[in-house]
Amino acid sequence: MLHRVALVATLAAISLVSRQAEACGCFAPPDPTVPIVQAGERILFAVNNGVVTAHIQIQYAGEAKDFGWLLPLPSVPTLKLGTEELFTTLINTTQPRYFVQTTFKGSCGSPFPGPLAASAGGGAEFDSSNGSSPLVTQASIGPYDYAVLRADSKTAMFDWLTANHYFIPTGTDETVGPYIHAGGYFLALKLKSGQSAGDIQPVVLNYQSDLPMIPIILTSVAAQPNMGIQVWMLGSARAIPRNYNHVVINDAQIDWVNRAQNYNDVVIRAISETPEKHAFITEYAGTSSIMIDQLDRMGRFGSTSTLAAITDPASFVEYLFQNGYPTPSTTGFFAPTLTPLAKSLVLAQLPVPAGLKAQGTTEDNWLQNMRFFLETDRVNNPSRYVGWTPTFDPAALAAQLDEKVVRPALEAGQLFRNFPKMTRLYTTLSPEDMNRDPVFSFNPSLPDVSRDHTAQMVVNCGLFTNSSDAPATLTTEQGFTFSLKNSSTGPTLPPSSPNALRIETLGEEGAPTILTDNTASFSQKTGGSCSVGDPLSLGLIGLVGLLARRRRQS
Amino acid sequence: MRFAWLTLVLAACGTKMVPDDDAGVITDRPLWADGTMTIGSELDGGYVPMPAEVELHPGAQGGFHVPVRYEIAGKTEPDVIFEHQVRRARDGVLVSRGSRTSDVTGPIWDSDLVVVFMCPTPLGVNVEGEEVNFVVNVKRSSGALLTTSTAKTVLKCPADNQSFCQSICKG
Repeated sequence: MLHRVALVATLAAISLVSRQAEACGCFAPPDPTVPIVQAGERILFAVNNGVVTAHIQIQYAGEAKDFGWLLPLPSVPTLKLGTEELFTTLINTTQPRYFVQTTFKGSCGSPFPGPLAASAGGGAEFDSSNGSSPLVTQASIGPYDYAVLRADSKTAMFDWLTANHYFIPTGTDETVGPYIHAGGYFLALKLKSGQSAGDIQPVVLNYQSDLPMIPIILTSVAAQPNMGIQVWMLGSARAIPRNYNHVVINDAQIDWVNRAQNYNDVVIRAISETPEKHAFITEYAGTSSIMIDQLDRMGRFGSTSTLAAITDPASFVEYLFQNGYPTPSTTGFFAPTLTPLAKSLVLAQLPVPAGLKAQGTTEDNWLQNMRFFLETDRVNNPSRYVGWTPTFDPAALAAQLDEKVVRPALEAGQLFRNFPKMTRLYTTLSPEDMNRDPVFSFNPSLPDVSRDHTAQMVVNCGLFTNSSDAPATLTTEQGFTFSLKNSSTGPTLPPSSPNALRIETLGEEGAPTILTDNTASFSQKTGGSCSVGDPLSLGLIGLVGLLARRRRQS
Repeated sequence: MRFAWLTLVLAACGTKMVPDDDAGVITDRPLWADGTMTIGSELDGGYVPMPAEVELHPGAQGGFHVPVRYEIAGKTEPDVIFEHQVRRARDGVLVSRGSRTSDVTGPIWDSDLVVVFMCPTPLGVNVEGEEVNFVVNVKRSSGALLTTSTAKTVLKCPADNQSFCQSICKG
């Protein structure tokens, strides 16, 4: 008998499909009749000493002049620039992963059948003021102009926003009501003149509050169906959705043999089974140390003063490549590429020569090989560089990189040293269900949640059967066992099978309160409906076993 | 000798002891006398003793919260940690927790406003019209317990936004 074990990693794909705009709060298009579709939100919250720190990813694909963003806040916030790299790293580091651990029994024709041999695939993939003016303060930071407005009066606030070219989308009038209060504030954000939508980067807000909240009611005016909301919470304990239910998904619904590609669909269906469709799933809860050194490893970025003193463009760019400016995922086998923001800043001063662009040279290729281009190719092909006379100011460029790339990354990295626990929560919401703002708190009694999930598959190979065609038994992590006709096709569940295994509420302390537990009913339901194994293969296994026994006896 | 050492270790494990930074002795008692601190609310920007009934204040993000201030008499202490918990009186369900750090400067020190997060409440937990108990543990950064103070009050939604307040304070 041949035993082979193949560990197949599959990543749950949370496809927050292409988006027009994405952020916390409310996007404001210039034409109130044109709906802006907000496709998802990604926010990292940290809470300490009555102060909430929120890193908010803003994704926007429209015209720069059309960009506007409103966020209600309980106090005057401080505003800093964040880093996109925080979110790409968080997603990669905490993304749920579904593994199938496969054992082959018998002699299979192909050692590594197609679907099961798939390697880990793409992951996730989430003034002063006078008596009448609501303006508290306005300033600029990075690519943004921003204003903090008092939220005492809707009329005064909207008048100011309109007069200052922040536009109010249709429907905001009704949804903004709960956020209009004496003592409240709105942050309004727009791109500075001359900035492009590509210059948008995450923002970091600090404001006074015991608990973080997402103003999802306001978001509803510009959201799309089943909008994904991904929240990371840092603190001293596991985080909980305070006023939303909690769901444990039924892992029998996961398409284990096809890289859990239906993960987001299962989540959407599981959420829809909860009261008012208000629930979050815990995708990870555990140590935050998994993020340590990801953004702020010792020596990363080198020295800004050293960089500022490099007057040779090629040496300047090489310094960036050698000191941690590239996107981490590109620093392995493949040629590294600078992070999009670093790249755009460098290219603003050192653009690809038009002659090279005409030859098909990409921005990445230009930056990766600048010394070759400027010292060799330029000598051999001077015509390609005609008109290329960049104004290279290393001190200014180094300062820009420091403000927009280095400091945001280092400050984000420090968060994971300050808070021992990290929780990743996820839900999907449609606009009609965005009628309660989710609030998040902590419960020290709850156990950690691994992002890794493993099912066991036993493939019963026959003499002349490909492993992918052989019957198999799949046992999910939650303990549901299915007989499969073949190892490349998952079980077919009855249509009424639940996607939520358990629906529960999580309090500030103690164990969950279970509202619905479908474990027993689902077990009964599937008991007689699993796919049946191939009897011919089973018969052959029995025959071979009999022959082997007779040989041993003789 | 080994037996004596073991006894000492067991004794240390059996009693909750807190180092007293001032005297250098081990004690499990609060370092400040009872009544040194009181938990109150806010009126006209200042401290008032906790009333029997408190109106929940609307927060800027659509919630409703309890305005709290602390008052400490006769103490000067840097970096004092105030850890608060609020529980529903009838069943002890935890409805809010948080902490603040402040320098205490006598002779009579009133804290800044502490907005204790209340609504939205945890799912299934109503607080409107309910009596709640506040417990505040006051500590040094070393962990030494300085004092514990309690207060109780009944929470009420404001009349001008009552239905919305009740909807998010009922859990």
